[in-house]
Amino acid sequence: MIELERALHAFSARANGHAHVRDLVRHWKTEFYVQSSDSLSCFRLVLRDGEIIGVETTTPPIHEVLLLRGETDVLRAVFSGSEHPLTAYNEGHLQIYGPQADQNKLDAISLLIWGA
Amino acid sequence: MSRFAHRLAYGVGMAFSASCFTALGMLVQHGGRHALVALCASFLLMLVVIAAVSELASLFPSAVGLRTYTKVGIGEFASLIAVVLYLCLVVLVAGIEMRMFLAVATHVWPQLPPWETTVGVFAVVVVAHLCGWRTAAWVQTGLVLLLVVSVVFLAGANFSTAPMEIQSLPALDLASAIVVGLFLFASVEWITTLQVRNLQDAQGVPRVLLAACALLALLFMCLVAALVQMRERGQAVDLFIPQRAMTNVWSEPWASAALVSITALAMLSTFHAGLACGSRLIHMLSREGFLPSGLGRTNAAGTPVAAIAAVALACLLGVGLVQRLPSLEGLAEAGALAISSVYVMYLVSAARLRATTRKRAWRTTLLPRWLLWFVATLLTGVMAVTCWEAHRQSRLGLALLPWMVAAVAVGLMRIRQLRTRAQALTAKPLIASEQNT
Repeated sequence: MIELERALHAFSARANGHAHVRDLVRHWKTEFYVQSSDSLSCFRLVLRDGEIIGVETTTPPIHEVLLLRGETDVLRAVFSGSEHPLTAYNEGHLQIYGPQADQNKLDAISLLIWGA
Repeated sequence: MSRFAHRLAYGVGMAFSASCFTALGMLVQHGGRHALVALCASFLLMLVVIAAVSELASLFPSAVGLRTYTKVGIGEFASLIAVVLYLCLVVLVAGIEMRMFLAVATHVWPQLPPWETTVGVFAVVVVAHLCGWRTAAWVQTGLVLLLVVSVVFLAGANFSTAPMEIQSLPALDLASAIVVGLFLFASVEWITTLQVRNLQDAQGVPRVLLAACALLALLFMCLVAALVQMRERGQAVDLFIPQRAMTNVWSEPWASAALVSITALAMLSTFHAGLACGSRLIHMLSREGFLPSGLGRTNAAGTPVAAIAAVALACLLGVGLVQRLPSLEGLAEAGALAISSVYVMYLVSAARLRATTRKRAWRTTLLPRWLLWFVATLLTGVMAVTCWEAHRQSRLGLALLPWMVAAVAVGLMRIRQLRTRAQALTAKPLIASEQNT
């Protein structure tokens, strides 16, 4: 769990350093959660003015939010860049929930960060 | 609750097409007085397929249905073949549905221009989708609700007429009737390709599938019972468009209006659901690099506009192709082969993934693994018989058309994917470039 949190912090720092990603999330008002399906730990990435300003430990969301769910190892691999999220999603290792527009925005961000 | 209704509407709407009336006519023709028994047997067989799909849906709750299920279950190549067969089926169904609808509509209004009508129908369906997911879902729910009410009313009206001298109908070919009945439920599983918005929705997919199948079975039973009763009374029923004889219970102009409305509702609900599901598959294939990246474009609300336009155009081409064919039998065989192949892939994937330790929210404990293999073998037998029958009638080429398209398309997709990967190596995504340094 600590490793996942560390991967999320490292990912936030990298994403904040990317000008295109900052432009893309500047007006994005969403609640972005990452939940581990095996340890049931849950994190919230706090977005403000085009930056990820924090990673908070939280309880799993009950309302409709942008949620990435998977085993800790998969999430760590995705956020550290060793696995492409689209591959993980297509192979059923990563689950994505949330409003259609948010899911597509996330898809666009993944294109910038992880590449095609 | 509204999400359950929306998904149910997509499942029922996709399966209950205008050509279902023809299939019901064939079922009554083959099954005679045992048509209802044949329909029940088809329903039980379909439940096995649905149970397999439900189990896969609970294994991969937010995945794009067939694409992930077959990719993990039987491999990338088979998965791509299955997806292209599914897309061919959408085009095929669009063509057949429009032809059925035009046959009915031009019977009532002979001056109706076929191409303008076709383009108009497509435009309405595409616009509904472009208005966003929520609007499209409500349109689909409205269409299916009207369809269900109309069908119940239609069947009920034919029950209520005074009985005449009963003529006994022989049971003719029960096996053929069961196979025809099986295809009545085909495509109900398309809801697994729809985008899932939260975990509760995803966990509800098996329940939606079961409810959709049960509702369809109920509707088909009402119609079959009414048709059998009509034939037993010695009433002449055109089994190609049986709804024509059924609506004759009312006087003109209500009979014509009911005939066109019911056929239009069945056709529109299928078009609408097919466009939603087909566009999601195209969008995903584009994102994976198998199709041009332009097809992955979305609007601000996240609607896959390019994929919707692509599916609509392909369906229009399908309509043009089907309108030129002298008969629909070859296409019916092509559709049967394509859907049977996809179902075999679903069943094999479910059977193979039974052995894995992946967590799943829903498991059909009553359904042994051997039964999945048995139904898969049964469907393979149906495919072999269909091929043999098509060969005897010299239309094997047409029957195998979706498979030929799938083979060529998958070959082209693999070449494209290799080229995309080669180009991606020269690009510098954020994470990859940092790792390289």
